[in-house]
Amino acid sequence: MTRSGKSPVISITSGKGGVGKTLIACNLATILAGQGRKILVADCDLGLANIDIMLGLRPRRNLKDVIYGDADIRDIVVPTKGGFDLIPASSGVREMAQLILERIDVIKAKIRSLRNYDLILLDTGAGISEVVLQFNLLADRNIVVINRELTSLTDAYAMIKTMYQVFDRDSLDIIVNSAAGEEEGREIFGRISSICKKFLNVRLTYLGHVLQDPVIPKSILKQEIAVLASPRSKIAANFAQIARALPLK
Amino acid sequence: MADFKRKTLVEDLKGGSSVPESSVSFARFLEQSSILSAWLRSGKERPAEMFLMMVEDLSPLERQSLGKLTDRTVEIPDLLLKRLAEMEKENRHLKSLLLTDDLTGLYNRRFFYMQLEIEVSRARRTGRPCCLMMIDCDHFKRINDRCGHDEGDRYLKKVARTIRRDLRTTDFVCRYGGDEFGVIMPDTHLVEGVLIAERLLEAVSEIRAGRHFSSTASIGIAIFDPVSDDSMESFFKRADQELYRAKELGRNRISHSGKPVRSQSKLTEVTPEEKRALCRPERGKSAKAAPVRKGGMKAPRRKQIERKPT
Repeated sequence: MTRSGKSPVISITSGKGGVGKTLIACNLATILAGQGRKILVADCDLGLANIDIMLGLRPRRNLKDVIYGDADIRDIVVPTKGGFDLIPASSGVREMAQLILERIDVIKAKIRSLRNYDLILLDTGAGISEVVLQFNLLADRNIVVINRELTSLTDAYAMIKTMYQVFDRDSLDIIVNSAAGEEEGREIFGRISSICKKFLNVRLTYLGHVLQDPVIPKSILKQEIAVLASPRSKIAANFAQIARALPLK
Repeated sequence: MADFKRKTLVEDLKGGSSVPESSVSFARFLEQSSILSAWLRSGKERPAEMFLMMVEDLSPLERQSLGKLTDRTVEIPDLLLKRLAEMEKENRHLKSLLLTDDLTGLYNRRFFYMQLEIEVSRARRTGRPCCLMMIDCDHFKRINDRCGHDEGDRYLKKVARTIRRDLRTTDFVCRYGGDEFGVIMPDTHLVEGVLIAERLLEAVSEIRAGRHFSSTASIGIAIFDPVSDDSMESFFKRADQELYRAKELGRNRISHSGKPVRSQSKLTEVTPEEKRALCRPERGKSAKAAPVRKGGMKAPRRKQIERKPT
């Protein structure tokens, strides 16, 4: 993880939509950036990109300009108030997801070519599409975000199963979002972890939980980053905990 | 063609001087929208001296502005008009002979190369991909040998009709030669191209040759990547190689250079047993299911996904 070498890549994925991937990516990146690290978040939800909206940004150019235009990937990187860099994707372009599949190798190479970052976080789209799988494959590690909903568990399990069966990933990380507390987080993790061990022989690592807290919906409405707006909140402590659990320098 | 309501002959005969720039560009603009037009030249050095144009209908305003630019705006006799129209028609027919195939009525190889070059440039300019599909009838020689050449020709016509029918109006269907067809599909992604090819393969297999034969075809597809420094030659070569590969692999199939588009549904299916286990809180180690070893029966491994781009 030297600054001159290849940047480590971690993807944030889930299987089910709406479990808080983007929220976790933004807040985690902010915490890590606050610790003096150089962080890049790439919005890889190419059909329904929304990090820019979450941050109240209006980037002029996005990933599409790199794929089909003459923009260099470095040109579209924008700074954010969270202190991390962002690669925005284009939102609402339905064809995008399909296009990406054909150009996935190019995008992967371009993301890989970004050096000098302490960490690149890929915020993937929902579902288990080929594109999502390819981004997960590009990443060195995968963080699967789950919550207490059963559909989130089964979808996350399906994602883990696919990553294992298709790409031989036998070790993934888990973050439990919207947990009632530390205990519930561990309980939900324990459930999916034991089943992954039992049926798949996949080892899951628990990175931590993010509390269900009114701070979060408030920050989303205001297009703020929760850990920035409320640095002393429990949420901020949660993210600091997760950042510590990440195998980073 | 001949029923023009008004006819205009625009002349500019200012004693041999060149036509003013404004009138030239205006005439060019009109030329683009008119049905028939011609620059008439005389002398060696001088630029156009007269611009002849036929328009179906000129508004008074157009007529007025034309009159300003030129010395005269006159009506030309019907007979001349008719003759000119005939010539134009004949011209078009001759042009079409150069570019179409006699037997099938499809575009010929000459057109194929011309259009391929255009589409490759267009793809580079617009950044939209282009697909090329090469189709070859399987065992066409057998049809020719056993049923005779007439039947073989009839068969080719049927195939041509089927391809034409199954493709979109924006695609260019060409008879590349013999029993080989080339289809240029502008603004088409490989996924779409393959879907179309699949449909086509099915349709061709339903064609009967003679009384007994029903024949099949092999298809090779390549995609032109507008961003890479791909060339037209290599684009064509790739499609041709894919066709060759389809033949090698046993005919009646499609071969393409892209990543296989896989359906994940079966792979990611969460079994009822797994679902049940997920849905109930952890309770010791009562479940007796053993972990599925990598490569085991329950977990078929699929590695072909990381195919190197060709």
